[in-house]
Amino acid sequence: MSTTITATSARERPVILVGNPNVGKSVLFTKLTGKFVIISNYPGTTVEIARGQCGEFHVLDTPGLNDLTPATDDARVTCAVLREHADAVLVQVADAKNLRRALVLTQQLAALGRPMVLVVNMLDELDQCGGKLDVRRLSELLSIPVVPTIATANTGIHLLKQQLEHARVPMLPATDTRDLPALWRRANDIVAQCYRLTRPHRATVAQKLGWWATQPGRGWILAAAVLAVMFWFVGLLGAGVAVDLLESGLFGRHLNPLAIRVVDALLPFPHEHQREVNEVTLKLPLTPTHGVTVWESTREVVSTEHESVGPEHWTRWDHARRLAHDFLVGPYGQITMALSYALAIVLPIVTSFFLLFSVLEDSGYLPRLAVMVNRLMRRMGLNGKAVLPMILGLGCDTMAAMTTRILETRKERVVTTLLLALAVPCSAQLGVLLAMLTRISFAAALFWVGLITGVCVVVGWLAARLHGGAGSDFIMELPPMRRPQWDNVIAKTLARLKWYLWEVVPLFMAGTAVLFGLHELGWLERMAAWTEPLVTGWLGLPRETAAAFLIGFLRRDYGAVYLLDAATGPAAVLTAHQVLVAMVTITLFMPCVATLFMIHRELGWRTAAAIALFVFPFAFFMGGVVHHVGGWLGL
Amino acid sequence: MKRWLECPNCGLGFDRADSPCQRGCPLGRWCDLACCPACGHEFAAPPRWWQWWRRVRRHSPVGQPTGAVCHLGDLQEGETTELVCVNTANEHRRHSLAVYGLVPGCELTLQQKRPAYVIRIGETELALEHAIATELLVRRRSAI
Repeated sequence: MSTTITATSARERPVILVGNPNVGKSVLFTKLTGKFVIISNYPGTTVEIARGQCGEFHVLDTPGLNDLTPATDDARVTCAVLREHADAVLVQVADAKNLRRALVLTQQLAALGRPMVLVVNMLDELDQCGGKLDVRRLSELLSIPVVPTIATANTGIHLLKQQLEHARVPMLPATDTRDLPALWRRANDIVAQCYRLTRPHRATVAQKLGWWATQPGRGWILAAAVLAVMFWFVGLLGAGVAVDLLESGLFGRHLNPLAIRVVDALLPFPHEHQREVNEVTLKLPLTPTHGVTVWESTREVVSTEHESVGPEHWTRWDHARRLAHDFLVGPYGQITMALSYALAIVLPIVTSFFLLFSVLEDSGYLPRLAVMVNRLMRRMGLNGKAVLPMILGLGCDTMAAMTTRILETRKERVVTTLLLALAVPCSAQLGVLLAMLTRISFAAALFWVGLITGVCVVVGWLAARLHGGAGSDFIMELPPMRRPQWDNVIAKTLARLKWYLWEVVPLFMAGTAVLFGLHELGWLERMAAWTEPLVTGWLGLPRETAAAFLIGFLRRDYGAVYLLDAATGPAAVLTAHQVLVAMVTITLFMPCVATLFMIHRELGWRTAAAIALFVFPFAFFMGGVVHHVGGWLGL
Repeated sequence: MKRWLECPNCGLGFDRADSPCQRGCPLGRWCDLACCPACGHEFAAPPRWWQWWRRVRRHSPVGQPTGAVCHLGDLQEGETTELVCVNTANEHRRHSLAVYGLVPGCELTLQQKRPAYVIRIGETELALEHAIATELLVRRRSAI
């Protein structure tokens, strides 16, 4: 029984995009609805349902699944959506190069008895492989509309919109949908009648790169090269040159003096601003300590520090205006500190990281890295797949805590989330840490990397043993290596930046307001005195850095930026040894309040509380150990 | 030392150690029963002396019999083979592999063994860890 649904009834139905992982569902969703969702070249990019409107159709994008008996949480989400929308039109998206596997899922979906359209996507890649597909024959065999598309090039989208109204229930002989060998046999029969794939005789550069990326020797060389490029691009260019230009050049030389002048004019009270020397250097970095200087300039500018003139004769209004003035442009001002930190320090670092990360995601390299590190991850009770959320955590730990859904067991999710919260610095913090690395010796930098990796392995190993429960098998599909598409890379970077700034700027402003309040009440000094045994005694850091840890509770990158200022800023107070201790402590801090909320949402409040209660004392403990042992080792 | 058996039901040649009933059985090597990893047929394994006598009389080959199965790890990188069975009692694992097309009878190419196994089944490239790869019993191309 095949029924073509009428236009009126179809327009009332939701449309669900389903398909195997990494076949282009999200690209199709973006093209159909005009709504941007993150798209990457590895399975497990989408972990939540995205909704959008295509004409009068309500379109839902779902995480990929290989069959209807799902093993992971993200695939369970898809099955739940299929159950929830019993009247939905199913649009199955298939990779043209891997039609056989898609047809196994088609047969399972056919058993649900819903109207379907099959989209055969990535037809251009099939052409490159020398493949041919008889679309009409396939449509006859399945008795549903089949639409060939190249979603990235917008080809076939219009036809798909038309075909949505002609969706039909597939006519396939009834089989046990759990009998996978039988489903594969039938998929082979269908493929034999309408599909031809000739393997190319010569491997392309992308294919060769894909093979090298998983081989023992070349794979590690490639991984080292990727790390080196990341260090240069994010640590030296983003966190070094771009931050210098924006912080000293734009904010220090133009925006801050302008803001001070405007606020002085609007809120006058008797005071005099100090002046400071502002240096801006534009250089091409070659190593952490060397670079080719292109341009440099020195100028004297107005400082945020000011001296009050005759405060004993001030009226109440003078005091109020001084308070408002300092709240905006003082040393803890919303413009001179919060916006300067968020836009001049965090923004260039995060932009450079997300740009590079998007390129890596789209290239298909990340699953290959998972293959390389599988053995190491096994020692932590995890498997290679866990490296995907951990690398994503280098971008943003909050997003990464949600991506742990691609892992199969709760034990793996808990251990990965713990390691994310403990030892994976987010992009803002990573950039700051890489910039701080330039202040310490090479041996100390190696010590820091080794220590953080060691902490990851030991804590992961212990957590896996204490948690109990089973791990999962490492079975991972490797997507083809592709050349990244620049429009997608830029769109993805902008989308992430928007998300990040929405989260960062309000938190930075709140953190600065808290610091301002504490400073005005004189509590900052008092709290520094309370924490002196911990900060000065145990960690061996100057009293001024206590504030960094205080606001580090809110966001650890904010604390890290504060420390960076103390380490490399104009009034540097930290010695190389103290920089190392500060780096270790702040790296092991909880990422931010938002991550804690996300862990609570994903794993429950007990796990979130347990992780937080472990992370904070452990960070201080390790910092102290490094201070005492590092001092003894002479680092 | 490998002890080659031949299933009287499907004719599959396999090592005694690959018999699924060997795992976790308290009788272990003292049991004379064997179970075919491909069809599950249980049969009495011929005694050692009888196998030795057949070899002496040249009624059976000295080494691995033609058409015998081997582990994926026994293959050379780049070799193409046919999957005979996934020799595991773990149903979930069997299912996880089947969704990628790793079902008995499928053709697969071993691309690399280290640091993890990478195989190609049709158009899918799949990475597996060592423990899973050793459970894949395959038949060499020359034996197909």
